[in-house]
Amino acid sequence: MPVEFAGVNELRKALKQYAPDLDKQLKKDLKIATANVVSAARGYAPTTAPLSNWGKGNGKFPLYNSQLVKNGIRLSTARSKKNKNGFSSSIRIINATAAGAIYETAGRKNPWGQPWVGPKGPAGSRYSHSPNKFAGRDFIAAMNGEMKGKEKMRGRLLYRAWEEDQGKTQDAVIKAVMKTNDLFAKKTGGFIIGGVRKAA
Amino acid sequence: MATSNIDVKILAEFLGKSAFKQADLATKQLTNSVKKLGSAVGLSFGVYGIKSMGQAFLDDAKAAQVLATNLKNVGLGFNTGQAEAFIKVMQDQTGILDDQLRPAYAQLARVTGSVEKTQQMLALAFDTAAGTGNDFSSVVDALSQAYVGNTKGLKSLNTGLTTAELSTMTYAQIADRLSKQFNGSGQASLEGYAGQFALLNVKIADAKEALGKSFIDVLAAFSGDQGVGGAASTVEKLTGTFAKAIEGIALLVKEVKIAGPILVAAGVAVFAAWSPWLAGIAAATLAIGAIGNAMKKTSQTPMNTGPLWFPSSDSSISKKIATEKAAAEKAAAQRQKELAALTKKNLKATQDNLKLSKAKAIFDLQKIQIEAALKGKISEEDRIRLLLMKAIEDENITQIEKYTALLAEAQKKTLELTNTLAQLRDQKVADPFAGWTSSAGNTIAAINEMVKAMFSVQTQIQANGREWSSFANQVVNTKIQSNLREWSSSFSPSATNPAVTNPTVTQPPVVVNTTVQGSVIAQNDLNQAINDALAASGWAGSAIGYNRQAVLTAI
Repeated sequence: MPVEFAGVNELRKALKQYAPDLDKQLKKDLKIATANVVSAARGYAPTTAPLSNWGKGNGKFPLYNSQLVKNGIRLSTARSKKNKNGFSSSIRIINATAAGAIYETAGRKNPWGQPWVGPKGPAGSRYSHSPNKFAGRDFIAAMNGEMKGKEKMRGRLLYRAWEEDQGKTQDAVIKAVMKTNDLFAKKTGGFIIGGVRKAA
Repeated sequence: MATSNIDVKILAEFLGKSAFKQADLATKQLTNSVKKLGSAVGLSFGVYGIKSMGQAFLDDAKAAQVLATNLKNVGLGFNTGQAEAFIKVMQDQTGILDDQLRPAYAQLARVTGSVEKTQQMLALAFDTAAGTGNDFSSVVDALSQAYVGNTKGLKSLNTGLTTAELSTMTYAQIADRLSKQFNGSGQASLEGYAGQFALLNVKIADAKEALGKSFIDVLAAFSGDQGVGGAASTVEKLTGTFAKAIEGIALLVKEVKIAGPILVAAGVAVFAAWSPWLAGIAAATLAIGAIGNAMKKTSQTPMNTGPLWFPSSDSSISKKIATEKAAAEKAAAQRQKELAALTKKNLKATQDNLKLSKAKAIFDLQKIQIEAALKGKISEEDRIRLLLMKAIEDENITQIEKYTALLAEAQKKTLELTNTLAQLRDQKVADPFAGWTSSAGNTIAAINEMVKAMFSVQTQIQANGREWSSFANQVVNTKIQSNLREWSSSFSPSATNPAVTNPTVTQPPVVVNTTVQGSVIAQNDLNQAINDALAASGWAGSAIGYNRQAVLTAI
């Protein structure tokens, strides 16, 4: 679960406006802080497609390209869109590619594949319409990677790395943010922002 | 490249829900609006209310004027006052606003030309509308149409009267039926909440009109010589001025944030400071109004708002009105008679049309028969006759002329043929075979000769040409049949038969004795045996002279 902080966005805005060097430094610090998780997550991505045909063809199914999947796992400091509960994250690690997301989560909800209805069965993405009744099961079995994490944060790449990290990265990130906040406060005398603080 | 939503959020910040923001914004806007409204609502409502009341009075006065004109045009001008009084009473009793009653009264007066019938029909319309659930105006329309013989509207109201009943009943009968059917429905409809609300609505509308009238009177008084026209102008000006003032206040509140609270505070302070004054002004207004009304009472004859209203007790005017009323009622009665006659005439015309339709149907049947007859085997003249009938049915003049000419010609030819046949019948035709005896040789004699020749061999050939028989001592008598083509000969024994008396062959009959050995099984075998015997006889040098009789005897 993310740690809720108040004033991070305000700090980021202020940094860009009044202390770009500090903003640049913060990005560097965040990159270093998250490097372990990103590196580990990238390492869990198979170098070849788990299924030989996944890396070929021109079908609608997202093509697995190991390099693209690995590059898609990275730090993002762009402010995310506000979710339905009103939260927005400004520092996160993302698994951006579709193929990476598939490898990450395949079998999380249905370990034996989606309910099979066949090509003529009811429409919807919740069912398997493959002619092969066991396509889903076989696909998941071919993933090989171990799934780690809890509930919706359970996966084979990023979530696995995050789970194994045991919160060290999160602490490092908070530390980096607070350090920048202190530096900025010292630099501006504390008049620009109210400061980053942990939400009550 | 497609992107996913797989991520690990390290730091998050609560920015608040959109709904919160929207609600907050709405609350702020509402607060502002309320502030603006608080400063402006009293003024605007006041102006709008006064204008609305004034408009209601003006509309009412206009409708009354229209009704008066309508009544005057149909010869019921004397009834204007009474009509207004009737409408007022009916409005109070039925909850139907005079806005609806006046046009209805005018409409029915136009149709009936009678005051009494108009009022009766209005009452009937009220009951019928309440009973059927239709609106009052629709029922008035239907009744007014029914009065002049068009019952289509009544049928659509679902009053329970059938089409047959509506087409055969007079208006009086229909009105009587409806009156019995929906008697008391109107009164019952007023007993519920809706009815009471309608009555309350009437009172409110009346109050509105009354206040509007007062307001217009005040404005007219202030407008001086221009009167009510000046009042309208004054209302317009006042409205514009107030509207501009409100717009100015709104702009001020919008542009200067502090202006809103200041204005509200100022308004409250002014109201608090002026409240005694306002109360005093209100009391003074009431007092002045009371004085004015007292003066009005002393200067004017009180208006009688009862059901029967007469402008004066002057006997000459009363007589005049009574005379006009009697004349109008007489004219209405006459009109009703004319309508009844017209209805009767229409009914007869309808019946005639019905008969004509039936007759046409017969004609159609006749057409079918003609077509069927034309397909049969008929003479040329019959065909022309049928075609002529068909042309007559179709009322095709060209064809009628054509076939009439053809028929005349055919008849002429028939007549000629008849005459020719009559002449032929009168002529004596000579027997074409008369000369046969002398000229063509005696046929009978020839036949007899032929038969005689046959007799010479004593053989008769049968008609089928394959059988023969021998006979003797026969006299042949041949007769030619009347058709001149057939003949028959009869034979009878006679001593005078030349063939018998002078036989050409006088040889003694040869007797052939045939001995049958064994059993005779079949006729053919027997015949063969006889033939063999005869052949043997011939081969033996005996003359072949035999006859059937001899053979049979021998056998």
